[in-house]
Formats: sequence, C-alpha cells, structure tokens
Amino acid sequence: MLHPHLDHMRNVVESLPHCQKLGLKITTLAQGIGTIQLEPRPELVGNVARNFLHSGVVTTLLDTLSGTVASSAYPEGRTVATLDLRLDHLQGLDGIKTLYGKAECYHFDNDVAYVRGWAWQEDEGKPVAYCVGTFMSSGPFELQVGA
Amino acid sequence: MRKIINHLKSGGALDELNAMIPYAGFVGFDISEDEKGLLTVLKASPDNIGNEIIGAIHGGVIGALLEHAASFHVLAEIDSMRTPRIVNVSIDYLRPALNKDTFARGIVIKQGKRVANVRVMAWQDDENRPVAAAHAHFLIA
Repeated sequence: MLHPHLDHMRNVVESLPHCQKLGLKITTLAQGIGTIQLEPRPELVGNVARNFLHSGVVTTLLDTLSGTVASSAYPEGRTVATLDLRLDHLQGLDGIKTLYGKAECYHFDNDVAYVRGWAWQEDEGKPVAYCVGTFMSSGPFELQVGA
Repeated sequence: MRKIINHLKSGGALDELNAMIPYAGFVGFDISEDEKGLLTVLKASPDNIGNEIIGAIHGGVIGALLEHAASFHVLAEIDSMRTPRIVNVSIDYLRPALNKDTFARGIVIKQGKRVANVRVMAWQDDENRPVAAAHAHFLIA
C-alpha cells in the first residue's frame, strides 16, 4: 500500500459509534478527496408522509466525509475539528435510494482545511445537498483510543 | 398527514408530532416546553459518539439537533398549513459536545410570506456556554 494511513483513517472513521450505527461506508479515500455512501432505512425517515430521510442524515454523511478529507489532506494525516459547516438542502432525500457523497479539500494551511462536498442519490448530476466547511487542524490523526 | 400535523399543532402537541418521526427516535430527540418556551433535547447516548478520544457527540448529530429544533420552532410559531422544508443551514461548532444531554432552542427572527429565518443555539450544562449555533432558512408556503 502506498498510503496505509489512509486505509487506517477510513477504518477508524467507519468504526466510530455513530458512523457504525448509521452504517456509513467510506468507499474511497485519497489525499484530500473521498467518497461515502449510506443505505437508507425506515428508522432514518424524517418526513413519514413523503418517505424522506431526515435532513440530519445528509448533514451527518457530509460532515463525516468532509472531516475525513480534511484529515487526509495533510500528508501525515491530522485530527481536525469542525469550525463550521454550511449546507444547501436542494431536494428531499428519497427514503429508499442509496445516498452517495463526495468531498474534496480545496485548500489547507497549517491551521485550517477548507472543504466542499455534495451528495446525490441516483444521479451525481442532480445533487440532493451541497456543503462547504472549514476544519481546524491539530495533532496527528487520532479519533479512537489505541487506534 | 397534513391534517394530523395541524391537529397536533393546534393542540400544542408538538411532542406527539416528534414521536411520529422515526429519526427522532433513532438519535434520541425529545420535544418539551419549559418556562422559556419550546425546548429540544438530544438525550445522551453512546451510539451518538463521533470522537472516542474526547468522548464527543458526532458533529453531524449536533447539526441534526439544530435543524430539528429549528423546524419545530417554525412549526410552533408560524401559522402555515405546510410542513416547513429546510432550504439551507449554517452550523458553527463552538465547543466539544460531550456525551450528556444536549439542549437546543431557537427563535424565528424573520417570517416572510414564503421563507422563515431561524437562529438556534445548543448547549449542555449552561445555556450561556453554547456548544453550537446555527441559522437556517425554511420554506413555509
């Protein structure tokens, strides 16, 4: 493996308790860029009448991936803390279609990583949400004790 | 569904409406009322952890709490037949949210004909030491 720390980072993020509970899968991760997906379930619904997932589901999916690509943007990998996250919720989230996300870190310096991302269901050209976030970087990547 | 929502709204039974939302049960959102008005609570749960080193709640769940609380303030304060639809949200993370009950309260600062603008704050032990804040727009007509 050229970048064993990226596989490690992906595994650590996927195994965080809330990511496990949601079933978030980071499908690819390279330096400063990655993809994620989530299989919808009835318990994630926020609008029962229309069978839409709660907006918080895509917020969590994009926050998770944006933070991960902010961490992976640093060649050595760093722990980051979300400073802010802004989301446009473009469409309701279909309660039966897989939710996909992509995010990229478009700039980082010693203090801050700047990330944009988007989420879609069937067609990447018709996103359901867009986000832009900033992350404060700190020490080596570490989100789990002993990992 | 719209009839049910309006029936529950008119009776002030927003907690019953909350109980009908599967995701609210999934993460643990409660809607109640105190002397200052509507209060949304995210109950402490080990399943909501997103950073095991400091034992902090996942930032996405804090974002979801702020969005959920904001939508209930819109439901409570605005006389509309329509279920509010979130347009966008901007979340500031101010302090780590540790694994304990987290509270959120908002205010509709502008209600237009079609859009409502809401500010929301989340805190844990002290309402004057927020862990996160957000502003959001909702379509209401």
